[in-house]
Amino acid sequence: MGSLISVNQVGYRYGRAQLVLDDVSVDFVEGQVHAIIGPSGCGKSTLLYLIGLMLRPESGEIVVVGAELTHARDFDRAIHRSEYIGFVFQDSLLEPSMTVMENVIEGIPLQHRVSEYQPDIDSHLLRLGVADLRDRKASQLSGGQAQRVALVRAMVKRPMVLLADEPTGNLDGATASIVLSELFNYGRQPGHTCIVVTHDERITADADTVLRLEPINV
Amino acid sequence: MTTWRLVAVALGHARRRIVLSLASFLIAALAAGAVVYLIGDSSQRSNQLLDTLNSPEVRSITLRANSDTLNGDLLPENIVRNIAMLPGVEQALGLSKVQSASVANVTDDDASVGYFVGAFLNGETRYQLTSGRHPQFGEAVASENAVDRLRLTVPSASQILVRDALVPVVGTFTASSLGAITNLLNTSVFSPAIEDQNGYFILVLIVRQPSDVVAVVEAARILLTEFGVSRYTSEYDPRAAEVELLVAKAGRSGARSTALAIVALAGLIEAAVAFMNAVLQRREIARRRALGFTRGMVFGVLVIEGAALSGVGAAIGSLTATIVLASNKHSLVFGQPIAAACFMALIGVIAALPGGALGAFQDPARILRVP
Repeated sequence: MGSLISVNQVGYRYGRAQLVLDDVSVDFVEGQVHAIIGPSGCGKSTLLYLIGLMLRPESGEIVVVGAELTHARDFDRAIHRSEYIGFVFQDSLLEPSMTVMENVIEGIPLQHRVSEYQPDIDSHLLRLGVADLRDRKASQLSGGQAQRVALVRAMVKRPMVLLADEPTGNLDGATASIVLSELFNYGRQPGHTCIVVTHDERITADADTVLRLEPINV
Repeated sequence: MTTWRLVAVALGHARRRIVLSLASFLIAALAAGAVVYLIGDSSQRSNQLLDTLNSPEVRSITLRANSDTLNGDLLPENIVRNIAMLPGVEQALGLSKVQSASVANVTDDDASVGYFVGAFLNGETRYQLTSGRHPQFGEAVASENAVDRLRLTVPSASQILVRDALVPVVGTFTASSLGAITNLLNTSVFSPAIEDQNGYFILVLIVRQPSDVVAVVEAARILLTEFGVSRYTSEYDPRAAEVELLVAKAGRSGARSTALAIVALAGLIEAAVAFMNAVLQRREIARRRALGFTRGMVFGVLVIEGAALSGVGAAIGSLTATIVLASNKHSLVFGQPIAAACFMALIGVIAALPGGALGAFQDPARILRVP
């Protein structure tokens, strides 16, 4: 199995002083679920956003699905992100005034036709138990339902890399199990990978690899 | 595909943020409506003023021979006919020197009125018969005022005395649109001149528009050179040539300044609304960026949203103003409301640019609270 993401000697700091990551190197292999753990402020989410092309490393390089885009134009990074990377956030980040369906459609790259994804949307919603809610406003969903919809939104475009930032942080046990099961199934498919930033011990126990980050003492 | 989905995202957002959308829509509608109404109303007032200033009095030229004797110098008939047919001349009336007419066979009545012999040399006859018929040579028609003054009890079957000669009156008339001599004719008795008249004491010309006045006076001066410039006087308003230009300028420049001020103010408010829209959407924009929107797409969504709202607002505002103007019987230039709507929509697009840039260049990772 090949590496989908390669992080090489990456450093990152917020502002001028606060060094968050220093000389981090790691490969994330396809067909596996990877957990990133560590205490608060150690740079877990920062690394996730660097991999997700939302931040640019200060030093080193990150190869995401065959492309090293550290110094690329924002346009190229955004298009690469839309094609290959899916995000799941801790607080689901659904638009409350939009329906479930409208929120899910937002996950489909603008350059693609929505109708091509309709069968996938239906099957994902059905599998995650939110098919009946497709016309409901996101503001009317419970936290667990919202997170499941957010997961559908992230998976609908079939990204090769699924990034999840504390996906079970706000969920009860039963819902967390559903979400985790889906994340693990997705990440373990050939050609895919799932990287999860977490404090959840269930994830670290089941993950194929665990990367522990420590705070940098300056 | 991308464009249509961007439009859908923009319109969806406009629908959800109804208060800001309504504000943007209303500002554009009010501004465009005000501009259309202002310009339409101003044009109407300018046109009315122009109509007034276009009156025969402003367009009239009076050429008068300087002779002070009844049979002295007259403007030569052949030259007068040439002047009457000059381009730009709409109406020409040649008149003899005024004589005095009194009631025939009433020796102790000293009432008298003016008496003209004249010919309409160009254009239609500019008096309206109110009774009787048009006179032949040697007959006369009396103005309504002359009838009163001479106390003609049967106006169309009377006689008047002009220099010892009796002239039958065959009808009555009122004159209009004859410029400077309208009032004079309306208190006189009028007889048609013979074909081979020697000349005319007065030639009254009515030109088509005020701007023709100076040109016709100059052409007449050239034609009368042989007659002699000292032997006649021309009377006209030298400012007539500038009347149309002055009215158009004065009427429209004021309205244009006010309209531009309205549009500028509306543009500023639209820009503020678009800016606020971008600020309030920060997390929504950050989420979209995480999902793969490029900066250009974010910018496009915000600009399309602003353009759509201001465009629809401007169209409805212009239409409303047009209906109001039409109901007040204003004559409208077809392109004005459309031009105003397009201009306001363009201002809406420009006003959306700063907000669009703010949204496009914000840092999504920071907004999504990393770390």
